[in-house]
Amino acid sequence: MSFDEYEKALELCTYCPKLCRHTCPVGNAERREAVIPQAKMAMANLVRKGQVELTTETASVFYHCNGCGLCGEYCEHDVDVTPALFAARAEAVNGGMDLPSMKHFTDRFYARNESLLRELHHLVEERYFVEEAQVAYFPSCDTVEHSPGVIGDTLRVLDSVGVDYVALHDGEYVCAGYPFWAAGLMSELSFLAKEISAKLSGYKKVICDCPACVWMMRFLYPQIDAPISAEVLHVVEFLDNYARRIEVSSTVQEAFYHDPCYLGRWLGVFDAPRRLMGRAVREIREFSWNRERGYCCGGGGLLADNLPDVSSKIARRRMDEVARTQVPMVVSACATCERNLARESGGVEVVNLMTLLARML
Amino acid sequence: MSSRDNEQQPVSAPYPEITAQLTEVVGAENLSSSPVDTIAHAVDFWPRKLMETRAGRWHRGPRWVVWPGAAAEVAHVLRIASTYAIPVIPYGGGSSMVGGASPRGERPWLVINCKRMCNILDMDEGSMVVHVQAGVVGVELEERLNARGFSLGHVPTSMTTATLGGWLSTRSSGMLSSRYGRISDLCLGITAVLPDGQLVHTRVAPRRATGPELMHLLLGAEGTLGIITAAHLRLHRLPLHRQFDSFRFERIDEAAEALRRSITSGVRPLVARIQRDPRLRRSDRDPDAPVPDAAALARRVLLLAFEGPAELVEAERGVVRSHVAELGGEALGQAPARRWWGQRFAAGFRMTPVLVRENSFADYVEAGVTWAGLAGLYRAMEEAFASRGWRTRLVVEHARMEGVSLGCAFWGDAASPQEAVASYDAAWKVAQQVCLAHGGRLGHVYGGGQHRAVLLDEWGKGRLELLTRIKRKLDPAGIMNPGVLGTEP
Ligand SMILES: Cc1cc2nc3c(=O)[nH]c(=O)nc-3n(C[C@H](O)[C@H](O)[C@H](O)COP(=O)(O)OP(=O)(O)OC[C@H]3O[C@@H](n4cnc5c(N)ncnc54)[C@H](O)[C@@H]3O)c2cc1C
Ligand code: SF4
Ligand code: SF4
Repeated sequence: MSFDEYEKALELCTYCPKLCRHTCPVGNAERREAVIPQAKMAMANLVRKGQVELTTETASVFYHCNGCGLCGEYCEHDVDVTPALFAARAEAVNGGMDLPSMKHFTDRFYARNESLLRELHHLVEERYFVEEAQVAYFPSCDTVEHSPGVIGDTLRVLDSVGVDYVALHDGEYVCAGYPFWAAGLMSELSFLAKEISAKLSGYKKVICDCPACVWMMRFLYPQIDAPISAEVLHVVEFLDNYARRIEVSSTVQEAFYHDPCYLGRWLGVFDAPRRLMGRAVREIREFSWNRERGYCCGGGGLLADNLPDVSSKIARRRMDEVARTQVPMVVSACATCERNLARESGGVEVVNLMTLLARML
Repeated sequence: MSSRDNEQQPVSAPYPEITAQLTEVVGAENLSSSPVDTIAHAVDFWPRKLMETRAGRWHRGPRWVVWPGAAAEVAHVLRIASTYAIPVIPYGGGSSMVGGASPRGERPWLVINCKRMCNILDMDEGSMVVHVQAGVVGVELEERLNARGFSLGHVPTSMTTATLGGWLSTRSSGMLSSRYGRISDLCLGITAVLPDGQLVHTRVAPRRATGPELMHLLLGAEGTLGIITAAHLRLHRLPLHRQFDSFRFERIDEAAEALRRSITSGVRPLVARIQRDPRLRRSDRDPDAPVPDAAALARRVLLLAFEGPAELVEAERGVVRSHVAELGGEALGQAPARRWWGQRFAAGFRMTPVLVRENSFADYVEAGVTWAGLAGLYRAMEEAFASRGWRTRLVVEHARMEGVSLGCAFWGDAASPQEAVASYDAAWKVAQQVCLAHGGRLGHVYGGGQHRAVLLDEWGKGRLELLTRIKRKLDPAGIMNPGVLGTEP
């Protein structure tokens, strides 16, 4: 997946009259010409062609992307900006021109992984970690760190519909490597993907609470020689088959549903979470930008780490729309989204779908 | 000192001092000389400039980009620019197809990007008037208005990329102009900053009869006389009812006549377009499809959309149908026009795949023509381009009482970068000659910029001289977008 593989996409964007400008959460938040999708891609292209020097300054624009894919949704040329910009980040890494905030990223990734693994074993009773199982639950880093309750809630909801055979994956990782991809650290990603793929291929099904993990394992791993033989599903996709069996004792009057970019646009899962949410919420409110056009929370693409203010501003736009109504709750199905939206919640509750369902059982 | 004098005596401006002064006005975070920002403002969407960049020849962009947050800041910035005779480009979305928003030559340009000024300031729902800042991107404004049950009714193909300020400064015409007019028809008043920093507000009133309407000096001025920072615009309620109709004619002549009779009898369709028979697309794509005969190639379809109260819509459709019947048109139902509506923004994407080809050339000729000249101009344009082997797609749009706009997308491939530019220039020369011979007026939609200005016969010597005199008075330092619209570089 070298930089040159994206030549066609980079060229199309360079010569495009910026037609998807309005979709880009980062461009809209910054109101700066250099960070709209067209300009980021054009800069990457000029660097690729050697017409602009790769420096930390020129490379910096590659990081003004949260990987949401919204621009591509509008694009009539089917350009996929995210992988091209992540490849540009890889180029920056190789040239030693990545952002200062990305220094020692690998060390930090593994240190965090270690600490979250320990945390996971504190959180969940040991009986749930079973080696031999048909269906494994692979919890994600942001869930363990920011929404730890979601893991227990998911197991409770599964139990309630008679699915008591799901085991927690007792592995060495709580992340499928999206941060490495977004950081442009392709060899680190390749190593990690092969390790995870070897471990998870023993199961029949793997379920994850992180949409990006699912997308990585299902679509990116095969491209980097790390295919997983198990079927990889988001929890919501898996549970959807049992939606009718969910019996709630009470319901919430109304709540917004926020489509996580990777669950919605990237995996194409729009109806399942709404069906599940419908078990616990009487009126599902839609954002003006929803489903395929769902607006990002600002949490992807390492944006919250590298450009926290921009990331917050993106979340604020989403939550401002809720604030204009009297609706007290936003539901989602991704811990990264929930964390980012909660930072700008303005008193509105931001809750994971599994937690909401568990609460209403 | 005229601006031409400036050109001859290169400005020996104290750059660090200018930077410090600009920073004081807009704040460090709203000023940049970083290559990241200057490259992003180096070219607009003028195809000729883009063709040059394929060979790696990029303009290095402006020396400074500033993002003022209010008209008062714009005024300060223009005073600084006037003091040091720094050439200024007011910048909206950079979607100008005529080089209106791209720096040129070796001078140290200052780009004033208006996009931080993007708020709705006030809305009078009863009078259906909105007061909005000029840096708002078109589609954002429309979505905000729609959320409150209104529409501006201005939908150019560049809706998602262009700004209100850019529209006003080019007197933009959208695909709904047959019903709602062009942006200058929707504009009731503006706030603008003149080159010396003076603020101008033209007041909103249903009608004024107190001297010339000064607003029109700035509308369409393409940033050569000042910067528009806000405007009062007329709104429309979101339509309750929308219908479509499509008709096929044996020749352009009958299609044009049916449209003329309809429009001049008072019908105001939302959309009215005459284009090639969409069935021919199959033969474009499928090499095994039968080659269309001359009769098939000559056929044209008239696509129409109507909106408003149901009774009015049905009455308008009835009038059109009777004119179509008089001229032997075949009714095709709603589907072809509805299909076009569903893909109405697709045209904006078409030029890009051509421009990425190494030695290609492409652009879009848009010429205003009165009804009397339409069929002749149409045929002459089509023949002139085809005889030279250039591909074209012609469309009649923006129908008004007195005439229409003829759009002609052209494209082709040459053997070298130099030949591509030569073919491009030759195509425009041909378009200009055809227009001169058949009563067409170039520059009906996209403005003059750096490009059309040199081709626009209608400018004539007298009109350009008058504009130059006005500009010299308002802009003695010659800072505002010099060289655009044929003004002194
Ligand atoms: C794909 C495509 C489709 C298009 N379709 C249409 C169409 O349907 N109808 C149409 O009319 N045009 C169309 N255009 C042309 C273009 O979009 C319009 O000219 C548009 O009005 C430019 O707006 P902008 O904000 O991008 O302005 P820019 O390109 O940034 O600037 C255009 C000119 O206006 C000046 N300017 C910008 N903002 C201000 C301001 N606030 N005050 C003073 N001067 C200012 C600039 O200096 C420049 O001279 C199209 C262009 C493209 C690329
Ligand atoms: S993604 Fe598509 S619409 Fe956006 S800049 Fe690239 S080519 Fe244009
Ligand atoms: S993927 Fe999202 S953040 Fe990145 S350029 Fe596209 S719209 Fe912007």
